[in-house]
Parts: sequence; structure tokens; C-alpha cells
Amino acid sequence: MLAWVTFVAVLGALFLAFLYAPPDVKLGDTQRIFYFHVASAWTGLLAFTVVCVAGIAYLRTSAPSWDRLGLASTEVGLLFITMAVVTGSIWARFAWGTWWEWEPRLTSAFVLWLMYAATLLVRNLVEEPGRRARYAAVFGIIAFADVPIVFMSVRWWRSYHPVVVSAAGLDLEPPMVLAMVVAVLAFTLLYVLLTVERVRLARLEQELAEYKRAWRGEGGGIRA
Amino acid sequence: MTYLFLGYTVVWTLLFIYFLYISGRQRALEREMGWLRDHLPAAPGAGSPGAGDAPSGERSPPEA
Repeated sequence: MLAWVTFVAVLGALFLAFLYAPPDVKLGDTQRIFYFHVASAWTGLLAFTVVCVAGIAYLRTSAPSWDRLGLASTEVGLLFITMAVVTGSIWARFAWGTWWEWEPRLTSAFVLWLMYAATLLVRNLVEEPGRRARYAAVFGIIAFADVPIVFMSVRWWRSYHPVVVSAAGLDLEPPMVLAMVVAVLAFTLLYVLLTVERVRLARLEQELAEYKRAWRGEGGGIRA
Repeated sequence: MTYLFLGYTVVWTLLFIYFLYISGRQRALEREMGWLRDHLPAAPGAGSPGAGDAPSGERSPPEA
């Protein structure tokens, strides 16, 4: 059901971005990258917020389900932030004439990417499951400090990056706003779908590890 | 238009690769789980009558 709703939402977002929203007066059709760039960035930041919440919950309860959610959300969030950074770079090449500029928004987003990539590396480096989950939870909480910095960077410092959402509202024509909102909704659904699947996969991995321990005669039952 | 095409290609390619990764890993894990469920009763330490009877070629689970 969720997969079908997501599929319809993504189709709707594509229709609105390519056929309904008018081209930008200055940037022309290339501005249409914007809809999925913003949606990717939003989804990435949402995912990392979930990582932080799951990390806090894991440290409080030590329940493996929170660790699985943290892992899934880190991976999926990294995917969406990668999409946001790459589409941003492509757009920058067209709008600014350069692939990359070390300005506040791009730099803070890149740092965010590095921090969550480091969180995944920690998960691969630590063998013992309990310690791995604790380290990953702490890394996820620390890395979250960069999320508000990414969001506020264009307001706090001088930046080339346009401010889409300001106190005055959205600086866009109504059809563009609709296309952006639907794209954000579609990518949020996609995030939920991918995270649910990744959590399921993580549970299977854990179950398998338990089976293997039992196979080696180390004891211990299968945990859900 | 080249940049627009490039941007959307990147987005959908990355999503497609991640879908492939998840589904491939899930299939491999389910295969491995099935194998272990079938063979676990015969595992050493499990205490079942058939423990240790399995031929040596079947003693290690397939890697995902």
C-alpha cells in the first residue's frame, strides 16, 4: 500500500515539476532541478533528525529496534543528502558557472555528509553489537548538531545559495510552490518506504547473526 | 536542458542503485536464513539427536 501511494506521489511530483510548473524567467527549464534538489535536502535533514531521536532512545532503552531505525535512517539519509549535494552542484554549474563553491550552505552540507558517512564507518569498524550500537547512537547525536547549521547557514552568513523559505514566505509562483510541496511529500514517502525496508533488512541480519551464533554453539535465542 | 537531464539522471540512478542493493541483500539473507533453518537442528551444541551427523560439506552456512 505504502509503495503504491509513494509511486503515485512520485509520478504526481514528476508531472508537476515538468509539465505544470512554469519555467523560471532567468534560469529556464534547468530550474526544474530545484524541485527534487529541495525535496532531497529536506528528506536528508528529516532522516538525520530521526537518527538523532533513535540514538537518544537507544541510549535510554538499549532496545535493538532503535538501533535498527538509526542504521536505516542514516543510510537512507545519506542517500538523499548525496542526491541534494550532487544536484546542487549541477545546478551551481549552470547558475554560478562553477561545480563547487566553498560557501556556507555547500560547505555545511558537505560536512554533514562526511559526519554521517563516518557514522556508517563506525558501524562497520566495531564488531561487538552493543558497543557498535552505542557508538553509532553517540555519533548520530553529535552529527545532528550540523543539521540546524545547514538550514540556517544562508541566514547566518553571506551565501550565494538562494533562501527559499524566509520569514516573508516562499519566494515562488504558486504553481512552483505546489510542485515543490508535492516533490517534498513524494520524497518523504520514499524515505519512509526505504527506511521500513531497510529496518526489515536489519532485523533479518540480526536474526541471521543469532542463528549463526546458535550454529556455532554459543547459545542464545532469536530476538525479534 | 543538459544540466536538467544530468540532475534527474543522478537522482534516479542513485535511487535505483539503492533499491538494487536492498533487494539483493534481502534475497541473499533470506536464502541464508532458509539454509540455516533447515540445518540448525543438526548443529553442534544444539543438542539434537542428529548433532554432528551432517556431512562436512554442509556444515558451514552460505555467506550472504
